[in-house]
Amino acid sequence: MTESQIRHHKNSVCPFCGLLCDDIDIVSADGKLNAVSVNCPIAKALYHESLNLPEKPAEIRGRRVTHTDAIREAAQLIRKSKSPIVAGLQTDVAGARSALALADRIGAVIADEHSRSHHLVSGRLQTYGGFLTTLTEVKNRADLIIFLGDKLLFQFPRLLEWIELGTNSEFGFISDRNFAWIGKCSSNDSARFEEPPLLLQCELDQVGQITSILRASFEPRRNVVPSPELFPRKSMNRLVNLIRDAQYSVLLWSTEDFNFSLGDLAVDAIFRLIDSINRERRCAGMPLSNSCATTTVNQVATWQCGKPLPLNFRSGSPEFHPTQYAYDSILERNDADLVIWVGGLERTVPAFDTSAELIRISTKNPGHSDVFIPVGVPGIHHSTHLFRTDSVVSLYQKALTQKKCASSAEIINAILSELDI
Amino acid sequence: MLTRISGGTVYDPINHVNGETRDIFIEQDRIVAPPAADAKIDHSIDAKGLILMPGGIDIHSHIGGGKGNIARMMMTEDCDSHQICGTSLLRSGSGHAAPSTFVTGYEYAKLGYTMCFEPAVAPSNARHAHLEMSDTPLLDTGGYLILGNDEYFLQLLASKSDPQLIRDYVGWIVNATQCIGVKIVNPGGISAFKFNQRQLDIDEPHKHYQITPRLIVSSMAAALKDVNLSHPIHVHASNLGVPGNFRSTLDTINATDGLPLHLAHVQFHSYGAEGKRGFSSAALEIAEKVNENSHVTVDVGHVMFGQTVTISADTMQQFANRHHGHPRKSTFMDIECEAGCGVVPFKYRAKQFVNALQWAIGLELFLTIKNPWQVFLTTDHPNGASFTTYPHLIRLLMDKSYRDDKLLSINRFARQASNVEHISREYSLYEIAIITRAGPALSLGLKDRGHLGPGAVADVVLYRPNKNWEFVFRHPARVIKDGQSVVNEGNIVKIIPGKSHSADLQFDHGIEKHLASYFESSRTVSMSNFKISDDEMSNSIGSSLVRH
Repeated sequence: MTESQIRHHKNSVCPFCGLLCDDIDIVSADGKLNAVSVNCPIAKALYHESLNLPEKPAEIRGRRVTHTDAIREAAQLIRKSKSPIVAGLQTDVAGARSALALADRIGAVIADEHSRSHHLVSGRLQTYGGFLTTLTEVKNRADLIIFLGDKLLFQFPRLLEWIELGTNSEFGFISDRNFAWIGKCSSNDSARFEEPPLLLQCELDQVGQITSILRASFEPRRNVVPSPELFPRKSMNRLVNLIRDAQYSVLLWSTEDFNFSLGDLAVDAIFRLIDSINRERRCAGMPLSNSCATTTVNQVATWQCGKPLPLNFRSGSPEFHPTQYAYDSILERNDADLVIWVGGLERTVPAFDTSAELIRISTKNPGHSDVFIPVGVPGIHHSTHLFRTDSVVSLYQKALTQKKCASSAEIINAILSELDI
Repeated sequence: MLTRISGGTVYDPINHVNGETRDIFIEQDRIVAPPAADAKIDHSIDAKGLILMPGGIDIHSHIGGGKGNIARMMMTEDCDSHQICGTSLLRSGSGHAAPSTFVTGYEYAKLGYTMCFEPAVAPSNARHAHLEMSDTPLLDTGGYLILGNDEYFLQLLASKSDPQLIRDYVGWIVNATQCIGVKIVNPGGISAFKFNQRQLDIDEPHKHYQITPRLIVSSMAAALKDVNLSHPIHVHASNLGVPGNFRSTLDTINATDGLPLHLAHVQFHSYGAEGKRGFSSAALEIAEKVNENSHVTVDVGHVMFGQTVTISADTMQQFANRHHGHPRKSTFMDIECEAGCGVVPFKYRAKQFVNALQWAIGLELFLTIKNPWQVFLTTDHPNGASFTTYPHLIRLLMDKSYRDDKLLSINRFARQASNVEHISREYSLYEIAIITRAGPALSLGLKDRGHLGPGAVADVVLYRPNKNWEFVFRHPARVIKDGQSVVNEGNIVKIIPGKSHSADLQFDHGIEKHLASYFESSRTVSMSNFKISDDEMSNSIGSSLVRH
């Protein structure tokens, strides 16, 4: 890669987690690109990996071929398939648009990699609804922030940086801010706060129980006495008082943290607590997804099909089922004879152990695939639209390099043209 | 290619053509003047006996953006019971109350609509709204930007900033979000709710800023005049749905002090609080006020019976009404220190007093506002009903005896509380053409839409006359979009993408210095990434731009 191929980009959008930080300066150094001005281990590692992505040829069963031949072979496998699944979907708006068009045209199941954790929130909204907020509101307005779970600051290293910037906000809504944490807060995490947060230490599967007990204090006709065995009554009372005194409290959690059996009940309990607080005060929740691609493809699926992923187009119209059409369920049941893996932003690419044939449209090709067509990383090698974890803000990033790497959308569109359906 | 549509009965109110037999000529995507007698006609369409109108324009319909997507996701029952299969030409989809984008485009086209405007685009959600609308085929689209609850604007007002600064901010943000209009939703109320204020009438101070909705409306109206925005300030007034709210609506009209004003879904703002149920029609008071003020236009937001979903940026009122939801679920969101949203499924029932009276109030407004150029046909899709009910609504307006029959089927106390049965007015085809295309085009400043004169974009609809006006408007014989036949005898025969319409406002670009610092300190995206460029719209979002 030569210096002439590189440009300087200020305020670049980082596509590597749900926060979609857009303050990354990318500069050239010794002919290579480096991400700078960002104190985030995830961004640093993935920018480095993506910007130095080795050029790979397309392959058919391990044999190097031209893109044209690989696309032709992919189309041939699709024509032959009786039950295809389009999976993975760590891609952007354009990739999602193309993948949905393909699934619709060929009557496939389409499922994203994180549909189970995504459904923890979308399923709750489908059944009962909920009260949500967005990052700018949290930054400027929240005078009490309650973290739930254990991996928030690991999965979103810059979360506190964004939130605490709010104390300099021009709005001046808040002069003081309190933090609490329900779950497991490591000493490293705790040390990142100016003052340690009020901690209600518990296992992840107890978070729902604690929020339910908290909720009793905000319900007019309930008077449940908190269980002293589970946590100290003093801490509980302090948290109740903090919520009562707060002008605008926010509950933050990572959806991945609650991706366990009955995790949906914990998420439901969190939303119920928010509802109860909102009777007389203001409160909202912000679930965080560590993949902006998951938020993105679900948004596109919902506006194009009326439903989030996973979807089954085999009957001609989109049918939704959160578990039946999840890609791991489909593979476990051997219910697909062809997997079309669409990627670009996946952190790890699974090496499938399946009897199904595999078309991999991705940055990497671990293990066997029948057809591999390499693509670039959205926002690095081609321009992209991605949604932030709050589903409200979407951002546009032009390609950072002039290195020519096809996008997933371009490859899928080429396959669709080859299929001519 | 020159096309002649011959012998149709033309209704083209902007050009004062009222049911005259004329030939219409189309060259490429435009209407052209009749060519010389010896000009070669490449294609002829025989429209003898057919009614010709410009393509329909929906001035207020929620078709794109985050609220709609939440509604789709929540309305699982609606989507499951309305599954639409794809064909070799059409994409599949689902939904009736909150249909998916492809279905929205197809269904609008089949009704003869060629343009549609999303009335509630939150600034930080504008990119999303445009992405959705560009996936809505066969329709040209545009969005109205939600302002008047954004903390930056409120702070400018509270600090008594120079009106020029406010003007520059408004001009900048409309351009930055590629919108064509500005809407205020519950002026100041969305912001106030975030400060836990549960109601805000037009002269009540906002808890934090101590400014009133009246000041917000008047300041915004003045700013829009200064930046020369064609479409007047588009206002969802205070106290939506609250009995007695007609007084707030009248005060909102007064607030602009003679500057142009568009009142959105005015049916929801025309309620009295009389009678033993504490709910009555104040449609006549509102109509009288509109009749006296030629600078005021309204869209009705008519209610139809059945299941729908209400989606609004008015978090304050949606939250207050959440217990009326059917099915009982609701989602709310505080958005980016600039807006909000509330999604509450709702079922309007003919036998329920309030719902039935809402239905009657909508008709009273249509029938008592005298000048059809001041009233536009909407259901505030999907809040009052799906846009697919428009043909039924048109029949109610055009056919007194049909209307009276329908009146007999609603709650009898609502019937008695309404004046509908005493109103004999029937809309003419010319008036229908005004309230469904010509009026909205004029209000939006669309010089080459909504009419069939030379230079207009060739969006033309051919209807087959029938005694049943609902049938006429539900089944156009042909729909032509940009000069191409896209619907023929109810079938979509061609898919073409819509264009996106936006304003191009003039302002002092020095405002960006202030805004860059504001974005840096108070927002979570940079100013440069917030802006949507023309290049992004055309090449990446996928909507070619038409600037006005």
